Amino acid sequence: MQNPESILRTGKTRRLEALMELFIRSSGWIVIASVILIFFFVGKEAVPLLTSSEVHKEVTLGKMLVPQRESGYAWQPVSEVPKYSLLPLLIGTLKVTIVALLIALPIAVGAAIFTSEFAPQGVREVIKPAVELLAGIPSVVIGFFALMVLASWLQASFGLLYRLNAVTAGIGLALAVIPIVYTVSEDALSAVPQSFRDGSQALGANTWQTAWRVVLPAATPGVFAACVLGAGRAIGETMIVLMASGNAPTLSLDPTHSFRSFSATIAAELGEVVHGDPHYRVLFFIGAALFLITFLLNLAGHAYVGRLKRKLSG
Amino acid sequence: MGRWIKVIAAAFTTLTGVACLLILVMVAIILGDIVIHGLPGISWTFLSEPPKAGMTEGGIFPAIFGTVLLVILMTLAVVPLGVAAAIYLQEYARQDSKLVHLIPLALQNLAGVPAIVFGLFGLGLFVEFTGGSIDALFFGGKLTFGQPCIFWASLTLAILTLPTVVVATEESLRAVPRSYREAAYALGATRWQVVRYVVLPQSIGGVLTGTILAISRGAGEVAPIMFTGAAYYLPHLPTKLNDQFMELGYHVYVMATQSPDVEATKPVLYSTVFVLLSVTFALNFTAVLIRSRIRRRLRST
Amino acid sequence: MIKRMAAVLFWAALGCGEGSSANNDTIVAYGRENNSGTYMYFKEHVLGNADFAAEVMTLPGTAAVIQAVSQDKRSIGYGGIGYVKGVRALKVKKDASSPAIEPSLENVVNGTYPISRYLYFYTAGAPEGAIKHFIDWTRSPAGQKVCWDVGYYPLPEKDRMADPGPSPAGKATITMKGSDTMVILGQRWAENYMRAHPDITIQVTGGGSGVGIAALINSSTNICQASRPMKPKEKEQVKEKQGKDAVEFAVAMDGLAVFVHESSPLQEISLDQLKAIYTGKAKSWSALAKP
Repeated sequence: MQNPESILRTGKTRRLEALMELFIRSSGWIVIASVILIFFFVGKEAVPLLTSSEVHKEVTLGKMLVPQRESGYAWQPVSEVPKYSLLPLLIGTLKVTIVALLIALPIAVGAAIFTSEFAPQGVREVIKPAVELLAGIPSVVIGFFALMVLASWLQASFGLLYRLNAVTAGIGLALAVIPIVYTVSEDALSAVPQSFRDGSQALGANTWQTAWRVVLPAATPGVFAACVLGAGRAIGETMIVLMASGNAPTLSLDPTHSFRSFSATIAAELGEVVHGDPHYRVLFFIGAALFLITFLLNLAGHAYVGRLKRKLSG
Repeated sequence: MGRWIKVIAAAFTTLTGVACLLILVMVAIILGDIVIHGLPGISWTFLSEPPKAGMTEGGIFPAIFGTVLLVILMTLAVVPLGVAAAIYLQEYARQDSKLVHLIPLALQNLAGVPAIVFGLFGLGLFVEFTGGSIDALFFGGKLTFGQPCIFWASLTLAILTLPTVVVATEESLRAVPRSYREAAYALGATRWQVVRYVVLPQSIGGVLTGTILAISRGAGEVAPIMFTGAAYYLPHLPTKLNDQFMELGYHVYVMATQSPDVEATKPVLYSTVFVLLSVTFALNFTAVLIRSRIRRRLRST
Repeated sequence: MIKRMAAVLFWAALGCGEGSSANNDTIVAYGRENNSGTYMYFKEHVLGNADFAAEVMTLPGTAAVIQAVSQDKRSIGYGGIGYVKGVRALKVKKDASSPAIEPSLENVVNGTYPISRYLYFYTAGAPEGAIKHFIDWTRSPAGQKVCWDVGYYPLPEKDRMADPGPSPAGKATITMKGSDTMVILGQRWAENYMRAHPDITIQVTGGGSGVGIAALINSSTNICQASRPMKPKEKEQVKEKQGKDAVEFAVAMDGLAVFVHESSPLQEISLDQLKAIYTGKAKSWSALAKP
């Protein structure tokens, strides 16, 4: 009979083994590297915006942020005198994000409280798959639905002036945000130990008092994290906004007016822009900014999740 | 006082219940609308023929073909990398090293990067930089890989779906009982042998879940492939790695916004959405089934 | 219903209920995304290069514009004539005193309809052999008939060519890339041409005018299809990379229709009025009616 050592340790398998170990060990680095690479390669294309004098003839960072004498705050990149003010896009992005969060947060957090505190098992088994279904709908499908069905519906019901506006897009966006907020808050609420609830009820509190005064405060960092992560998703979402916002770069704060967001601007304009143009640089700059914003929101969100875990275990 | 508490309690419970109901109703409305308008248009011709008459007639075969090819290429790239990263985290990394704390952080952030930024990244790194360099080195500057194509689009999606694969695999690796590993080590197996013959076979379900979820995500994403390879209409199916391709999600976007005749396109559009949704739901459903089996095992150990 | 509730809650929260009292007189203007050939053309030829007003909603495709206009009584939009369905195209006047012209085949081709544009082929350097033969063929009666079949307009008489006769001997492959607007037109041309000249294979891909131009600069396509003229900077890049000038061929015409909701009382519009609407000077239909 052969020695098991010799079966397992021929030269060939040793080489294969070393190779596989190398691959496995480097894969960890690839994950970290890809985050850095994303920022590097998106940022790289935007750098000439800060350094190249050629680009500066058309646009500088100052021009993008400060009002211009003739045009004020205007996003008008294809023009005799291209105008790249970021303010209309910032207003648009914030406007739709706020609408989406105002709709999504109460619904998602409320539903999470209901499933973790009040719902009988049977209801839980309906609501969780429903949220997973919602999470599985591609954003282009939600965008399509908002554009073709929701927009007509809202306009007919309210006689809105603009068919495509921050409410239409915001509701669409809320559909994309709800699953994230729901899942993270539900996790946070379920992580609260059963002993908290038992203790509260032993002192004579009913279920809603327990939920409101004991479980929710204990899970607050998690619910807050859910909201931050939801905001990150809302700011970066592209297809829904591109299809349902009307894309008008106005300065209007009215949620029933059309708007233009950062993400939709990139999607709409990058396709035909001359590569290496100042306009191209500005779009990559916006991309890099989006990356940084969502990066920070995610960092904050996960920091809160971490804090919740420490709080409940310590 | 007592009555007020009861009223508030009832109101609070009802409000949270209504929130749940709202979610269910929204899902029902969207799915109902798409099924009612989309299902009647589904036929074998629809699934097997290319679009005709400016996309108002015919089918969506090139888009289905492109999507399938895209996710296959993506899977080939993302699964080995994602599984390796999960193995590294769970089996190789020293739990006190800084790197081990950085990797989950990187994964969480990767999962939160907006899809459109992946599109810019794919264009910058793959199409312009890598593709451009390949052309300069091997094709004498002739534009071959330095243009948007299915290869770069699938790699972009692979990075996008990497967190999905790693997280699912890691979970199933954790479900393998410690005692299995200890037994194998006691028999003199090396770390790689433990991973290859003990841990991986036990956690194949997790790898599968991750793969399926990644495919479902990849099949529906439009923003990352807009500039890295998807095309509006192609008379030929993609046959080479550097061909452009049609894709279901992008096809939906194109038909909803650029078709020559909106009313005539509507039935085709709804049916395409129906196909896209059926594919992603079927994939998600399978993943959920496999995952619940793993979780049950995790709980029982 | 839910959506309604959510929206009501939202407005209550912000304290602005003006959405429901929208003024029926306000003009809601739709246009195309700022990188489309249509956008550029409209800006140059109707707005006299002035900027669009920020309030103009820009949609990613003409279909989306038509869909929006067909659902909104107060709205106006523009797009390729081939698309107009479910909305009503207006007659267009060059100025207040000139006659209103219907956007018909005849009026576009004889040049009386004031807003029509050329669609282009570009090559790097003067084309030769099969490529020249194919381009000549698209501009011949046989090729021009195809334009009409897919919703575009043939070239005016003066720009057309005679049939180029038999193709040059030997097998050849031609690649065409560019404008998504033209990809269906290009595909039809390719099909018809290959039927008549089986030795020559033509491959057509879309991606956008910008993608086609980039491909021409990098010599990965023989012909670039563009729905807008090449910019001087792009022509420079062709010259720089290939040492040859970019050569332009007008191959078809596209009329831009201006359209409104089917119930609108408006029948005709002048270019000045269009300019006033799209630069934001005229904000209401009643103001537009005044001289």
